[in-house]
Amino acid sequence: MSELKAPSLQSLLESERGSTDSLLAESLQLDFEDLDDAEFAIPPTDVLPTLEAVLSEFEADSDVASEFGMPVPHATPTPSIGEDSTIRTDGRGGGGSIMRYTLLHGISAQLSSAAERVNAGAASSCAVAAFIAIGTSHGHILNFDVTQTLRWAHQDKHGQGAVASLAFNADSTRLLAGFSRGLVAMLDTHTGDVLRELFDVITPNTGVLHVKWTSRSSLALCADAGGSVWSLSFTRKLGIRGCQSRCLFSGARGEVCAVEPLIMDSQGRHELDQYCIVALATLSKYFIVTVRPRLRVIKYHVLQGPPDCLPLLAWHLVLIQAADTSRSVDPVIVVGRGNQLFFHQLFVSNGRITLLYLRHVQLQGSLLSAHWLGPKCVASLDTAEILHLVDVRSSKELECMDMANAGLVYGSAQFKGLATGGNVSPAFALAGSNACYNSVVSRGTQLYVLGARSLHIIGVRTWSERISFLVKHHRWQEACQLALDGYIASVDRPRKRAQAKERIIMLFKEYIANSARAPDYCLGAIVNCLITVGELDLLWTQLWEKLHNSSTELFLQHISEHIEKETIHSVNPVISQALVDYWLEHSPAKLEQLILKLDWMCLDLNQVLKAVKKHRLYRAQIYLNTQALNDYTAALTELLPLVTPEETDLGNCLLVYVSSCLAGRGYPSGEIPVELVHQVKHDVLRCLTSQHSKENAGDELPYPYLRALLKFDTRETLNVISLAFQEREFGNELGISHRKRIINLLLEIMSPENATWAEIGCLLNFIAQQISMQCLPRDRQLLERVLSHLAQEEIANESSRQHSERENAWHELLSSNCLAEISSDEEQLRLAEKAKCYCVVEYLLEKLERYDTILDCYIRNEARHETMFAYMERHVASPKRSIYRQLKRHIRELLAINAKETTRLLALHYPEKIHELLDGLRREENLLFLFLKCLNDRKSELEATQMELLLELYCKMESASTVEEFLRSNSGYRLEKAIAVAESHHLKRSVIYLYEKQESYAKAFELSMELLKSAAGEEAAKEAQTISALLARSVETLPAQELERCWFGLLQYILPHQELQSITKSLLHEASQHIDLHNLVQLIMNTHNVSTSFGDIKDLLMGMLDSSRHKTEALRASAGALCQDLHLEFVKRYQHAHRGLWVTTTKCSVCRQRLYDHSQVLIFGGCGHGIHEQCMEESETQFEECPRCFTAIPDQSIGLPRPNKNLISISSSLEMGALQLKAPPRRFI
Amino acid sequence: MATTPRSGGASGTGTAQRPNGTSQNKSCQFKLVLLGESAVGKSSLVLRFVKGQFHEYQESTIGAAFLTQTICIEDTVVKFEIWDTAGQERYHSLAPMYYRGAQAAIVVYDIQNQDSFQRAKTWVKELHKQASPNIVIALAGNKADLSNIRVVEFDEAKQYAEENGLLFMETSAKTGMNVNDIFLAIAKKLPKNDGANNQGTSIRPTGTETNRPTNNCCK
Repeated sequence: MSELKAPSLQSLLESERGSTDSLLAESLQLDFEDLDDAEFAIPPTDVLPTLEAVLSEFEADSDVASEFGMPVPHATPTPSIGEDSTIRTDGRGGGGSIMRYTLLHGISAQLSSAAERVNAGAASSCAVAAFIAIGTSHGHILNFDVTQTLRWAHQDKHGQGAVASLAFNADSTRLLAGFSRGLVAMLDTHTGDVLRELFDVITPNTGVLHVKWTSRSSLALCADAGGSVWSLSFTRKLGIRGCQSRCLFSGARGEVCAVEPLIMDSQGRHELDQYCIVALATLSKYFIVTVRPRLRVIKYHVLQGPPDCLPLLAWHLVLIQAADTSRSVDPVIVVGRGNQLFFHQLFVSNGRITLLYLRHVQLQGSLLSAHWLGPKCVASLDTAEILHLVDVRSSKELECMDMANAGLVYGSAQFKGLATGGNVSPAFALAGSNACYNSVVSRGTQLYVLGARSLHIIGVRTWSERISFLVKHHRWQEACQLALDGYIASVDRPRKRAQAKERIIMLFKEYIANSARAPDYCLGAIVNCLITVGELDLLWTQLWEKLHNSSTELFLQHISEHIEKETIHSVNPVISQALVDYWLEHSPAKLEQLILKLDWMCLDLNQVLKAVKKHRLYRAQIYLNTQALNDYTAALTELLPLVTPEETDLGNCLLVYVSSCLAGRGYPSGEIPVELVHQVKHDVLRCLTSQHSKENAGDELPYPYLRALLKFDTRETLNVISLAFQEREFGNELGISHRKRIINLLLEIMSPENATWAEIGCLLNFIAQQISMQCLPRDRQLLERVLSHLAQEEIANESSRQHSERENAWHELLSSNCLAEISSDEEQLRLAEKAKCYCVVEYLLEKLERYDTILDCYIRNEARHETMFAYMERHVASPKRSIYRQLKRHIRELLAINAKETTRLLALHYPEKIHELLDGLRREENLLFLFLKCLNDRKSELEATQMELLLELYCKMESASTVEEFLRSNSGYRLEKAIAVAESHHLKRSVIYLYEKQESYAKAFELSMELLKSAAGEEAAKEAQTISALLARSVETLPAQELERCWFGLLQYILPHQELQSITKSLLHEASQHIDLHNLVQLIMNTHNVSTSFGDIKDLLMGMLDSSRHKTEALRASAGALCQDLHLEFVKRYQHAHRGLWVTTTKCSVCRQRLYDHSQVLIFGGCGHGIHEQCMEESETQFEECPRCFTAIPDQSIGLPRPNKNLISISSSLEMGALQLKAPPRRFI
Repeated sequence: MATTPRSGGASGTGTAQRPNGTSQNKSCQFKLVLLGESAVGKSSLVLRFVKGQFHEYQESTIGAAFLTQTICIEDTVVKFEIWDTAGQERYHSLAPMYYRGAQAAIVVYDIQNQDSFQRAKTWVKELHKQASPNIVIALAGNKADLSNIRVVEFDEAKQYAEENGLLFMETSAKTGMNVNDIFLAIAKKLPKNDGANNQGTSIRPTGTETNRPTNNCCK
């Protein structure tokens, strides 16, 4: 059964990632669950074969069909299907393996002969149950049984036209036929006898569109071309067959196009069985109604679509998995129109029949028909006559097939009412052009498509059938993939899984049977299948034996892939031999990979061990030695002698191996079995430290294994030992003696004759580390030796790293207090200083509390300069550290290292000492400058003398512009002094700036003039502009005469200079604002080369005259305008003052209090309403209209004076700009 | 600066306090291994963490170097035994020796170098496959001070780390950014039941208890 997911949103979303698997899973389910019989109402088949069974035998016919010129749609890609690129490219098609096409030859032949011999006409409708009934356009009905044998033929004698619709009842004993001129006939399916002929059961003068049996055995429905639906209740009173016809829906209220009763064969197991339910669809809506027990509409929905498209309805029972994991089998209706499909579930909830929307599928073409094919797929035929198979859960199209050549029969004649004179509505006739309700019918998983003279069956193959189909066409790759998908999809259903596995094994047998012919390319897929289902024996025996020489390599490659992916861990010994041979030949490295991943049990040890030794596959060798032979030392004894410093790979591999063994871990992964761990550790250690190798060559140095490792990489070997020392075995008394022994061995091996100094250094560092970590007892002799190494004054080629390691080791030793016994701190201090181990020195000084030289250590150790300042910062407060004293002593170094930090420290903690320090630095100008600069940058207030000193240094060290910048941004200096300093360094610009700052503009000007005179060309022009700007700035301070003198001086210099003419004009213009024009003109005239620039002078004069005239004009005009304004204002006020006012209210419009209560009153003009002035002020809003009558307020409200006795007085409100009202308000008081 | 731990007593604070002095303090010990391509700054990172130092021109590591550092989180004293492995190709095959017994690993890459990031990914893969299953792995994008010329985007690495369940930080050994934080984060993530982790210490000869000042519990 199915699993159409429930109406939850989640399930809808999930459906998006549906795949082809869904069909597979469905096929699987169909295949394995025995629901089909119940679901599809297939009658018991003890005697007769089922229709499906019989029809599926016809598959072989398809080849014959192609000979007859029929297309074979499943032979993909057919050209017609190929055209539909969107379908083909999404890759989801079943590759033609899902839909099975069959042409029913027997029936088709009968149809042809009926048409030709008895003039039966073309087929017009069909019905399928236990029989296949086909009606023709001339009123013939042919009834076939499942073997395609014609059982009987019936001819209508009443001239009722074509057979429009046929329907079998539930047990296939009665056939109901509707004719296009309105006759409804009931026939016995076995004999072909007419049982009832009903002429007047539908709207007169209309044809029958549908006849349908309902779920009640004596109740049928009939729809006519007038759009009405009639219920036909068959009666048999006193042996006389009768029929009661009743109109259910009249076409006048919406023409019904489609009728689909719900028929469930659940034998009363479903709650809905008590109802007789019918789905109806008009061109605008669809309804679900109950006909029995009483007629009632359950639900209706609007159904939009193109006008030439008919609504489509189809029911099916579907297993629904609700969001709360409850399952139910409920009827689901699919409603289609245009390119839309809607799915609704019908169920009983709280005693009410409920219709629940499930999902919506959008298709590409317009629909002709939509039918369920099984509970998971919907087959939809579009107007291009392409059949699409749509998976409901994923809404994806699975496959499509072109049906254009089937010669599909359309029922448009009935819809257009051609037999009854075309008395149908235009909308109905238009929609009916695509009607094929009665020529495409479905039953179970098969779709019957009626052609004019043929009948076609489209079936859906089950998963198993699809595999068979693919196998038959030698599409092994796809078959395997499909089989695997099915197997994987059945992951949580054990029964199905077993069946899927059986099918895969069957597939494999088919493959074996075919493998003589079958190509190699699908070998991988078959191997993959077998490995996935875990049938390895088949793989090793049947498949392997069947393979020829050429394919064995391929087979081995596939097997290797699986080993690498770790899907299999063990292979058959025969295969493993072949595998080893194959990879030995092709890639020994790959062989090593494989061996490491394989269980050793399946390997031929003799063969493999020989091979790995020969090809030097160390890892594999170690792995096999340890796993298979349980020999953990063999690898060492065999491989260690081979180690040389060049063999990094081997060396590293052995180091890791030794380390793993000593830590109790397996190699290359996993753990050593618990019962072996102890033994292994012991053995490996003993082997490593054994004095001589097995085949002692005599001249061998002692401890060859350990020596080899040390020789290879001292450091890493020591790391291995260091790691090993942390193991439990080295923890107890015995372990400590082991440690001691190993250290002694190491020292013995690493004698100066046999090792470089760097290596020995490494060892001694290591020992120091071990001692300080208390992994070794403090052996005096050892310690002395270590110390002597650590305290070496100089080691040749020592890198800074090595030095720091040495230092570290020493430091660790000291801090773990290990050296106290062999050497005094004082002595070590001396040694450390010599060895330049400043960390150690510092540590010792700390310890001895000789803080006064600690800073030296920091200063000498470049890497720790950064931490030095932090150190000072931290201890600045503790007097015994004498930070300041050290600071003072090292001030020079500190400034050089980081002047900023040093200054910060000093300024923060020793501001009072700065003087002293500065004095000390008086001679070193560089440092002094640095110091002062940093101090100044810190925004600390420098004293004037310091500032001047800094200025002096700036002058000496930096460029003129920097000096000027400094002067501009600082102000702490005294001007006179600064001027003196700047002058002494001939920094004229700075001096000018300082003069200006001092407001001695005259001096500044003089100096600037000097600069101007010394400059030439562009420079001079720039200078001149600078001077003019200077003079402009000086306006406020310089007396007018002085200013004029300066300007004259400037102009006198500039005017005669030809090259400065470009700026003459602007300068003159500038000057004209400051000096008397008269004098200016005179000056110009007196300039001796005036003639040459007469034009300029003329321009200047004209300009001056012009501007004078403009100014006069402007003055006059503005005076006039002012006069006018005043006049207007006066007129306005005058008007206001002369107007009478009519105060009409006694209460303020805002506060509703009496208006004349001794306060100032405002009246809003014409309306005569007033408010208190205070209210006006208090209220936030700006009154634009009278708050009472909304009359617009004129520009000026008029204030009334505070009332007094005579009401005529002058208040002080004149000052407020409000005119006084002199006349008393009339009518008041 | 205040958060930088200093090496055990080297910077010499007289007022050093022993973290073990107070009885309620738990202490545990973890083996941590640094992995990554050469020249990504593994040694610099460790040096910054252990000593607070930074060398602009750090020599390349030859063989794995061993350092220890102790930090405090809450009331637990965590001692890191750090194996700073060499990044050069010839030492790669030695890495299992260090990471197979380690409880934590920092995989370092250089944010200016895409290759180093890819290499870091392969390290992570190898660790997942070969190291102990509950190893805590941190991914460190080093040289974050040069983020203006970065090649590996922060988000890219962040996403990768999230997908693989790694701790992730961009660090800078030069400025000290995030260096202590990443070790702290690891320490926080590590399980701190003393019994299992103190195996290492329990087997030591119980000689005189040291007077080592471990003053760096500045957190």
